[in-house]
Amino acid sequence: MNKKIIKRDGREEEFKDSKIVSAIEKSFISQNSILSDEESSKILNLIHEAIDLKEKITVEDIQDEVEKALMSLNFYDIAKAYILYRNSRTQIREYRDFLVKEFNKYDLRLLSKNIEKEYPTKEYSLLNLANKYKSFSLNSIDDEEKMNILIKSALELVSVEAPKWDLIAGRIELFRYHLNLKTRNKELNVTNFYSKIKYLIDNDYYGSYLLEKYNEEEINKIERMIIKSRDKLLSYSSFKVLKEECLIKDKNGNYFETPQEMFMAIAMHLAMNEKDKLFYVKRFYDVLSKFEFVFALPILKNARRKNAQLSNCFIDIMDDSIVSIFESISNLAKTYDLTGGMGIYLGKLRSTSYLNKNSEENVGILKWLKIINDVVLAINKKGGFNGGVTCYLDIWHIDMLDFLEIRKYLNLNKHYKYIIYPAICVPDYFWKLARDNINAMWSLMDPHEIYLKKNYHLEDFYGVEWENRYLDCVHDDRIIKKDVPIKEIIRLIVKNAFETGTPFCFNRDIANKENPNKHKGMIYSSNLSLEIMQNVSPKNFINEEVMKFNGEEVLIKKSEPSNYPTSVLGSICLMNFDYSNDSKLEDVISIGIRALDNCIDLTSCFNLNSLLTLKKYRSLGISVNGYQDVLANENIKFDSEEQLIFGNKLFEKINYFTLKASNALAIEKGSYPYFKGSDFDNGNYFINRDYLSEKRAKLKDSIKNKGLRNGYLLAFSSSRFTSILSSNSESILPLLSKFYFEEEANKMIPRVSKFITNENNLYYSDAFDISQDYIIKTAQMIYKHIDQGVSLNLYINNNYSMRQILDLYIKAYEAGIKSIHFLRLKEATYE
Amino acid sequence: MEENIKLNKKGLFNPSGDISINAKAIVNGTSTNINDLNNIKYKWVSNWYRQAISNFWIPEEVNMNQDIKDYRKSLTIAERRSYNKTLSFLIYLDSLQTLNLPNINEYISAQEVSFCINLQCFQEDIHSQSYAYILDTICSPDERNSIIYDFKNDSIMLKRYEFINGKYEEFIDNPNLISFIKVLVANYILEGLYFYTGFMFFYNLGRNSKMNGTAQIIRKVNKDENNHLSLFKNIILEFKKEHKEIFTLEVESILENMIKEACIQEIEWGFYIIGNEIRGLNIDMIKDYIKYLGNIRATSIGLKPIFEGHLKEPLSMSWVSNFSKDDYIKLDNYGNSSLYSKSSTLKDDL
Repeated sequence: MNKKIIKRDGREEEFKDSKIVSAIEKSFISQNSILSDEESSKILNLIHEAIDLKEKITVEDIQDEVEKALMSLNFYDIAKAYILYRNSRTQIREYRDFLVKEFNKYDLRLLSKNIEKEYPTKEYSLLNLANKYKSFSLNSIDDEEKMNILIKSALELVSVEAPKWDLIAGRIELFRYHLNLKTRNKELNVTNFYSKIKYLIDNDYYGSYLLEKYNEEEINKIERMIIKSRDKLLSYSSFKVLKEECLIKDKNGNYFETPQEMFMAIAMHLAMNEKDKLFYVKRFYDVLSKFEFVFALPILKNARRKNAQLSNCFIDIMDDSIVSIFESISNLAKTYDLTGGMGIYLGKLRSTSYLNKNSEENVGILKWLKIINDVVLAINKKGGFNGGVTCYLDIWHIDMLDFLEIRKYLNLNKHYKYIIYPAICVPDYFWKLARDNINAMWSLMDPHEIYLKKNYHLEDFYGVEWENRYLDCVHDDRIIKKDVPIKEIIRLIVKNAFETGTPFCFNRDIANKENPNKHKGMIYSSNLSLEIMQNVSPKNFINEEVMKFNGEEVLIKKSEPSNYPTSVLGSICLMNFDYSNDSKLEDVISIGIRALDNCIDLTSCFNLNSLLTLKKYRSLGISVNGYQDVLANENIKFDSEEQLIFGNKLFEKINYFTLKASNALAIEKGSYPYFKGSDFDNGNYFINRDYLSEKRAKLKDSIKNKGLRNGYLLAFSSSRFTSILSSNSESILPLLSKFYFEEEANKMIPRVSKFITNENNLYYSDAFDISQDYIIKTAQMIYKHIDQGVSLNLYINNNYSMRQILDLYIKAYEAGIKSIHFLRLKEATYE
Repeated sequence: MEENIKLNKKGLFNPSGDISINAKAIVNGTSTNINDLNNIKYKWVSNWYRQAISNFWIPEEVNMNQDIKDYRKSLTIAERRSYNKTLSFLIYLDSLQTLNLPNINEYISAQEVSFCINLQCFQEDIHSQSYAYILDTICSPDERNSIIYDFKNDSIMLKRYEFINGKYEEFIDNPNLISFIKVLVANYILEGLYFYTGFMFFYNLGRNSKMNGTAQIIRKVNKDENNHLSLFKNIILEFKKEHKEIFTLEVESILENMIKEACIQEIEWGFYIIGNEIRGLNIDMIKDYIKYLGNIRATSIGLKPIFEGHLKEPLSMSWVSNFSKDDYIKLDNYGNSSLYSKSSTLKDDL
């Protein structure tokens, strides 16, 4: 009997008993009963009696007959369940059809079926989407607007219970993107990856090196390595940052690359000088497109382009001369414009006003701060990532009191708004006094005057040496001092932190003692978000000369290169691979480091001084993302001892694999030039960290004998960009809240972990609800395994008192924490 | 009967008053009227007061540049009409509040509670100032006036204003314990219902990426109103404890009817001002939302739900609470967060 069944879309299919039985079985199971073979054949018999005479029947006919058969055999409950199920299917179908019919240009049929298949549970029903869509879709005109509304609707369904609407919204957005791109490819006569690369090089988007290094045959091979389905990892939010920040577009806002093509072109750039190019192209592409190891924004944005600037996190010192100040300002303008973030150390600047009492306005260093702030305002990077400038001042600087208040909420009498962030550089001695003798006096002094009277720069020292000199200055009556009780300074710090989240805090002694490259300089300050900690020094200007170049006169500005740090950054995204598998973890890290290290040789830089510094230290800033997700996945609470033990093991491994990979690279390609004499070389790095196991001893020897590729390696930034892109929780921090919005350019973007489930929900703690002691303990645990800093926020509510806030700072100091970024405040809401 | 429902204005200094905590009462207390804040009877007051103080904000903190453009360019005609009328309505409501709260306060004999109402009154002023700021930024002077005094030309609006006003005047004309509970509930409705639909309208614009500055200001107003709502809820509940005898079935049904009537009017108002013309909202959604609000307002002061069903926030409106929570909104890492509080409330125990 070759009976045909007509499906809803008109196609015909062979009639099969088994399909009917399985549908009926489902209804039985839903009623907690079991369909016996006997019952099943009885039902089938009845159905066959009814339909056997017909040659073609529709699905609806069969379903009618199933209902009748169930009823006549007295399976009333089952019949009811069957009817209800059938109804709900019909409803969903209707909604799907409704959505499909809404659009002319876009055929959503396949997409909506796939979404239904991949997200079969109730919370992701298209019914919800259609309902939401209807409330928005009021007199929508064209398909594009309707599409926007559909995406917005999906996005609004994102909740803790249904976090994956973010992925569905991404799917819809990508569907549109791909369709439009296809049309565009045709317009541009782009037929494959090779012709696309060629087009982009010809039009000055891509660097010509791509075709110099890869021939057509190789590119065709590479094209076959692209795995389109990896687009499914892109949520709406991650695709949005790619579109806004990374994917190349022309001046009319038209795009060229698919996300996968972009990842591949980046991989091609980073691997182009490898001996086994294609092997590394594939490896780099894989870690990146699976978001196992995500490179920082400048790499994703600029790699593959001409003059690719691949590093970020610049740190500068403003020296105490007009030439240096304005050289810094000019660097700031360039750096801020191109990378959006910077740290500047101001502790060397004299305070003219204190010595010259006549000037009332723009007291002391505030006048320079105002210029810095104006530069930042003028360049105004709106909506970009990591936008901001952090200015550092030593806590004994005579202008400290004004400095602390620059961001004060209602600074109405000053009528000027600072958008730069103040950060204080604090020596151990200050925290000791604050802890043991809060009523003691603190002397604020002018660094220039100290130099005049003492012939040394106090800020050039740290630790005991600094402390001795500071006390020497305090006791030297020739030096003008502003004496303030420590308590007053603490009050100002705490009050301002409470109101504005700033000043950030940089514990200079700890950072310098732990600096693995102290043989080559010292760390005056950190970067924008306080995780990069590297040697910095002011530049010495020699002179300006006239030289002949091709017979023409040119001006050459000469200066001695200084330490002007910048780093190449990337993040290990723990949730996107099996982090518990050591060899996988090692593999991800070693590929990631190799790619980042290549960037150091490939990057161009608008600032040659920093490029030289980068090549001397070969600095990386490797971070992690997804720690909170991992904890939830392991059913471990953030505020538990268990977490500290778990984390200690994990971060120890990350450290080990990182050093091992950098050592292996050194064997292959050579050490960083400043390796000799570093803590890695003399072994102090290992001794300070109690890395004494046999495995560690072996690595230590290997590093001693064969060197290390990178002078700075691990720094845990807040990684907002890589976190959003990889859908992993930010860095090592707990979530602000299980669900929150981020406001970006007039849009509210919902944020909720994509890994949250009913089962692990409990293990996602709101940062404000957990004891901050655990955040400090976690940072302490992590600090053992990194060589730079952690961009660490503390979270308080308005029930905290001044003493409690101060205690957090003191505890952090005692725990050896090098920096505190924002003090975030949640207002307790009154119930 | 008249004697049983007598309500006394609080006097000035009362030297022969009672100094025990028990003498304090929401109304008709017999204390000295000295501001004794060291001996507080209503324990919730201290938390409430601290919270309200630390919420201090001024509208100028919010940047309205985008709103200026949106108001002219992005709003549809229907949206602009609703925007104007909703703003006009909020201006009216806050004006009424600043005038009427002192009337209520004249009878509040517990000083600590009286303090809270004073503070609320001040916050309502800030709200009025922020509407002025909004108008100042986005409109020309003539548009401004036509919005503020819209009721002079809009008879539906005028009728509604007069109705709300009437509820308050009943009490002024004849203050007693019954009319007192009625004015408390009228105030509670104003805070908890009338304001909320206005807020909801602005959040809806925000969720359509329009007039985000306004939505930000409204979020701050909303936060204050949440506090005010809980203040009046507490006053009503304390009053109820102290005057059980007033709460007869008859009085309770009067109160329930007040809420019901308010909801019905509010729904009609929603039809009038929002209708089916605004992207993201429709009449069914408004109806469901108001009925739900009416029910939670009624049950949280111990009355029966007013409308059958409607006990949970309607799914189609779940975005409202997401958009109204200040704490849920993280501006860019390096943006200016509106979360920071004023350090004046920070306890100095150094």
